[in-house]
Amino acid sequence: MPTLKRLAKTKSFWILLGLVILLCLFYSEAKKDRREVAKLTSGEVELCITCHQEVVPEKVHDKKVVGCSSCHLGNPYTLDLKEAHKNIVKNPGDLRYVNLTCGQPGCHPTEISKVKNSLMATNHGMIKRVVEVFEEKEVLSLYPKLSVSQLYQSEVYHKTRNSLGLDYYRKLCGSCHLWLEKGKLPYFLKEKGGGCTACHLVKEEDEGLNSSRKTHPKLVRYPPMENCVRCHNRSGRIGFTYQGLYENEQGGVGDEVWVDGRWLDRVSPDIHFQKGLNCVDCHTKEEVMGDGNFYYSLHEALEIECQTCHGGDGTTKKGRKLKNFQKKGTKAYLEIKGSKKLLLIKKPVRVCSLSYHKRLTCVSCHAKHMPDCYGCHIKYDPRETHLDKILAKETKGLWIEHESYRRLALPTLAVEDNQRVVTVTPG
Amino acid sequence: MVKGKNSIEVVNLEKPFLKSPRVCLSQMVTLNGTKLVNFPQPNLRPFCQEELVKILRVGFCLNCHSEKDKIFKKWPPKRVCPYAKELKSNF
Repeated sequence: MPTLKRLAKTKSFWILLGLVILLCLFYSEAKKDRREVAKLTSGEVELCITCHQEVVPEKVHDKKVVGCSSCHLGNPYTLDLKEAHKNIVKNPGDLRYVNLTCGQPGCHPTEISKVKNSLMATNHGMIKRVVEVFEEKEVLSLYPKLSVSQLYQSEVYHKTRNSLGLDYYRKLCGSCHLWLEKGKLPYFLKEKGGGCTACHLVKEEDEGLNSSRKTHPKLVRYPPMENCVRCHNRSGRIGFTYQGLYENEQGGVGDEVWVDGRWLDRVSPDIHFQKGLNCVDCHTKEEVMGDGNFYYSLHEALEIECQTCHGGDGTTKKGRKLKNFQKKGTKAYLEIKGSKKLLLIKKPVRVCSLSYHKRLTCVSCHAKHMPDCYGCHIKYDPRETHLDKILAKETKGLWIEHESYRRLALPTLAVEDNQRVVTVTPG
Repeated sequence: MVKGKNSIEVVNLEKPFLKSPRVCLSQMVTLNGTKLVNFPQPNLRPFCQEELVKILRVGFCLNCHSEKDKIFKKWPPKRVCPYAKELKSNF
């Protein structure tokens, strides 16, 4: 003990002791697990990105900013595979749980409530029309605002199960609405529906089989025309006519084939398509995604007219200003939303304002052609089965569509409100 | 082509499908203004007889005048073409 006391009094002893302690500390630090806890730019913990290396193509939804769980739910605070993937959703845009994903506070809450009331989500105009044609007034008196989301409810299903009109809708029209679960139906129908992603999701080009980089599907602010035409290609065939396609009844050499097997001929496209305009360059957000009001038909929801831009100041008939309409001096321009390119808008010529043309709408003279199909009739075979697009299963009763002939001709004219001459087409 | 009422020729593409040659599948209205189809919107209607007469009367002029002829721009709305008087009486 006296030697220890003596040693403690020496300087070198204390230096040596210090070095030993430092060495021990270094060793223990080096042995520690040095992996960083995955965090977002906001500082929130998001352990999903520890394993998921997929690259999100658009900056606004960057993985470091919103993470994975903000959209796909699940548990971001655990690395346990099962626990982390509990209650996970593949498609955040699905309207069934969109309030927790895209529509959560801080993201797009106002848009979601409007979209749910839009015609693309309610399909009320289509349902009402079909039920009226089948002269089933009792369905509409029971459910005056019948929308497609109600058709998913078992109570509504049982109360309306004898309605042939609704059976027709479910089997022939029920795949074109936002409540459809993406990927639930077979064949080309699996691409349809999905709520927000029905329009805003685009497929990223495959980088090749050798690429190890996994890409996340891309979300875009302005939906490309292809996404609109995925649904808007029947009845008036506007999606086809706009881009210069005519659905031929029997097909021929050189014809294109649509995903569902229909034959398409190339004809001259709409001038706006030729100039590079997309559907959303003219149709406003409120028209397409709804303005919060419940509409009974498409015509009530639409608000743009030719004269909104041609001769107008970019104000729609509901008083909303087009965001991509610009006036520079006496000239007016429309900006293409995707490419930001400015297009000069032509003013109406003198002949348009002549007194004897005052009842004519622009399209009654300027629409080059419109597809017309005549003699349409449907056959119902109760012995066979048909895919019910709402239930996603085959049920009794097969609907078969027939038509007598089709033609591409100058549009048929009719009178609207006893004042305006407009174009009409069957469908 | 079939000879319609009032000697107006109507292109009849639907002949193989129809029992009556006087009505076409694409027809929305008869020449006397009777509506043949229902419209989904209550505010829509086909042309009435008066409007049909006015439209078809222009066809009468087009036999001699080109569609870009000045007479169409200067024609007073209430003036009736003297040559069309006979046609008008048929309606």
